[in-house]
This record gives sequence, structure tokens and C-alpha cells, in this order.
Amino acid sequence: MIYSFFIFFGIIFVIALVVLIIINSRKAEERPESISKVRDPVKNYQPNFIEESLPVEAPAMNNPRSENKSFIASIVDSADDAIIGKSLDGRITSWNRGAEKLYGYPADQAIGQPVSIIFPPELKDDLPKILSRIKKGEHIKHYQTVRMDNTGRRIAVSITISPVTDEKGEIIGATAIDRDITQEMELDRLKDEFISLTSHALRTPLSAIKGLISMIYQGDYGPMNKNLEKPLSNISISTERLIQLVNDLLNISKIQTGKLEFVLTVFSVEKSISKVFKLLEPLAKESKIELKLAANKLPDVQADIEKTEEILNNLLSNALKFTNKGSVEVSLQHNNDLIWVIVRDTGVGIAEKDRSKLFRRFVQIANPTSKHITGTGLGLYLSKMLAQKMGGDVWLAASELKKGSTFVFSLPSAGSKPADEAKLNLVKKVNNSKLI
Amino acid sequence: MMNKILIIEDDQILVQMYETKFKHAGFEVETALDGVTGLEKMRTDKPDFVLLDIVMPKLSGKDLFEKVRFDPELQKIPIAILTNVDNPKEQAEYLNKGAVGYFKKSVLTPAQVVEEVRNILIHG
Repeated sequence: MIYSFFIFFGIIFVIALVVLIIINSRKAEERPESISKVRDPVKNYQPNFIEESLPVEAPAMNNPRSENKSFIASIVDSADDAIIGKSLDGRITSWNRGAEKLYGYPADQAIGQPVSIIFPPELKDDLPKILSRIKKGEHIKHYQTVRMDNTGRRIAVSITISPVTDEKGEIIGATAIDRDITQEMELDRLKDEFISLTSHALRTPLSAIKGLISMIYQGDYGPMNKNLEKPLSNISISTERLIQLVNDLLNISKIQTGKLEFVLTVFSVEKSISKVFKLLEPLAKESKIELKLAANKLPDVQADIEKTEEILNNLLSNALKFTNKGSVEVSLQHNNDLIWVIVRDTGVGIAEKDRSKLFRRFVQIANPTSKHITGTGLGLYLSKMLAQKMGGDVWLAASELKKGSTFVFSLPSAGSKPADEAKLNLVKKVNNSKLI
Repeated sequence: MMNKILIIEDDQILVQMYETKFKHAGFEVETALDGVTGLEKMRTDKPDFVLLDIVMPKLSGKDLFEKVRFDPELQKIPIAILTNVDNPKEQAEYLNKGAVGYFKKSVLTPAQVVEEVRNILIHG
């Protein structure tokens, strides 16, 4: 009874997590680049959004320019976002009603003041950097930072800044659109908190189920009843699947929000392979598949050991699952700055039509010779993502139906250029998430 | 001589589970369902080993660990973290600060936890 209760709630939590992940990934896809170089400098200041939001019956359509201007001014003034004009020396030249509302200063007080009045003291250094970018004609889009109102209260904002040019095309200032994102930030925080709480809440009952089943097996609660072996083994398999699913979902969600931590060290990937072989030996023996490692001395890699083993485990257990007879063989190669781990199986192979779907989320390729569908449909997707974050990759190198498949997992060798780049990117990620 | 282990863990079902396994493995077992009781029992029961959960009411495992680190009487008792929090940085931090193990409840079975504890008690 109590187990079915746990499992029921577990499933509810997992569904909630899946929905969160999907919502989050949509958001991530919509998130634009932070900074972009201007391609086509605007001659006269005419922000795009005004043209786009122009109603069809607008008087501006066939009217003189002056009316058009006042129409634009009224839109600017009625906008919810703060729209602020500034000169190249950082003085405020225009201040709409949205700015009055967000920052508390009335327009007549703000205009003429240095724009630094809305910069928190700890971020004052940002202003010269922003101004020098503007002078170069750069646009800054959706820059998430903090500003300050007239009472000193900090406000989380997303800022888009564009240069303003005069008739001759000279840059004479900039316009900034500041959007209050306090609520979005709060939602993000709540979502993160929800994910970390649910992960803990989910794992606790799952570890009780896992632990108690193992103890029933081991006779801790009296002699084991033979008839219970099969159902207990099935509960055990299902529990492991749920645990894996929770881990995968949490990892994906963490990767998407830039919160998955990587501990990069230098190690021999061969050792990791041997370790994973040991874990998978029972499964290989049971299905009478030979696990082989063609060892050769190669340089160490730079990666996160746990994540590397997770990827290896995923590739190798996939290979075992889809192989009915023969072997799963791992070999190593040194290609430029990368170490390739090549996993070759003599399994069922992957049909042409399925190959493009392999690395997508929640895609499971049916195994035609097995009734069991195991796994979460997230393994390859997650493996590829993890490998890429570490400066490597995972891909399908070859496959033939009924003959087998070959997957390659690459990692940068220690001290190589891709290794340094991966290190830099992961550090940058951490700093960025702190800044926001 | 029988080793005495103190399990500080707020989930009743898990406490009972680990208690049973350790008793069957020949340990003397004490339990505490929150950090405050756990700290008291560390003083009064003088266990040979402590398994410490992190997320707990009253006094969290993290706070208890910090208190014990600077307590001349208690700092000698080996503590292993037993948790479902999966955070490699936190794991490294605990080990650096003197924890003798960091066991993930959803990864290890109770028998494997017993095995790990035994190894630590034998080999230090």
C-alpha cells in the first residue's frame, strides 16, 4: 500500500518536472543573444517596435512627419517600460512616464542629470563600458542587470540599448528601454527552489523503496519467498528507472538554467571505462554479451569524471540493451586535440528513419527483438549535452540494420585548446548566473 | 567489541530501514530524528561512527557538522554524510572539512552503506 502511494506521488512529481523542463526549454529558445553588432546603422532614430505596433487606422499613415513624430512620442510616453534617452557623455536627454514610474524621478528632475543616478554604486563601472560600446555603434539587447530608484531600492531590469544618430549618421547618444523583471526573477527563483525541493522529496521515498526491496531480498525481514522474486525484481527495475528519470530531468533542468556544476579534472578515460565495465558486467553476463576494451596508451582527458562515467554508462548500457548476441567493444583513438571513445556493438542497428531522432528528448527507439522498453528516452540527449559542455561530443558514427551500431564519444585531451575553451566557458557560465 | 553507530536522519522509514540493516550486521544502533537530538546523543552516547543526513528540521546536518568540527570532544567521532542532495561541490566541501564519507541514499543500498562504514572503521 505504502509503496504504491509513494510511486503515485513520485509519478505526479515527475510529470510536474517534465512540464517545467519543457516550459523552460521554450523560454531558453526564445532568449536572444545578449549583445550584437549593428548591421545596418539607422539614419534617423526610428525604433522598429513602433513601426510594428502601428495600428492600421493610425493617422501617421499618410500624414506629415510632425504628426508622425507626436504620435510616436505619445506611444513612447504611454509605454510601460522605462524609455530613456542619453547623450554620449551620459546625461539624460529624455525620460518617459514609464521611467518616472520605475525609477521614481519626475522627468523635469531627471533630464539633464547623469544617467548614473540609476546605477547602484557597485555597478558604476558598467556605465563607461556601455557608453564606449554605444560609441562604436553596438546594440545591447536584453542585458539583465540591476538598477536603483530614487529611494535606493534595487530593481532587476532587462535593458536594450541602441545608438541614436543624427541626419549625417553620426552617433549622438543612445536610447535605453528598461524593463522591470523583478517578477520573472522571483518566478525563476521559485522554479529553482521547486526543482531542488522536489528532487530531494522524490529521492527520499525512492531510496526507501530501493533499500527495503534490497533488504527483503537479502532476508532481513525473514526468509525470502521464491514466488516474490519476480515481482520484487520488477519493482526494483521500475524504481531504478524512476531514480534515473529524476536524475536526468534534474540534470537537464540544471543545464538549461546554467546551474549544473562541472568539476573538471585530468584523468585517464581508460580507467573510467574499466569502472563502468564492472558496473555493467552482471547485465552483460546475463545477456551473454562480451564486453571488450581494446586498450592503448593515450593522453589523459580533461573532463568531469562523474559525468564522463554517466555518459559511458549510458552508451554502453544502450549497446548492451540493443545487442542480442555478439559483443560490445570499446576502442580509443587520439584525433587532433580529442580522445575518441568508440563504442561498437553487434546489435540490431538503427533504421535510417530513426537516426535523426536519436538525440532528441523523450525519443525511444523500439528494440524489435525485445519486449522490454527500458530507459527514460533522455539518455542520449543528456549525454550529448554533457559531452558538448565539456568540449567534446557524442554522435552516431555508423549503423547497419541487424549488423550493429558505432557511437563515438569525444573529450578534449588535457592541456589542448578545446580543453581550455571548455574550462573558460564553464567558468563564464557560473559568473553569469551569479551576476543575474 | 560491538561498534556503536548513531544515525541522524529525519525520515522515520529510512531510519528504521538503516537501523534494521546495521543491527543485522552486528552494530549497536542509536537513532535521532533531528539535529538537536543528534548533537545531544553524540555527547551522551559517544558513538564510534555517525551517519548524518543534511536536510533536517531544528538543526540541519550542515549546521551540526559545523558545530562538531570545532568541538574538541566531538570532533574525533567520524561522520559520514548520508543524503539525497546531489551536489558535487558540497560533497567536495564536506570531504575537505573532514567528513569520512558522502553516501547518496538513492545510489547505495543499505547493505552497501554498511559495507562502506565497515571499511572506514577497519581501514580508517
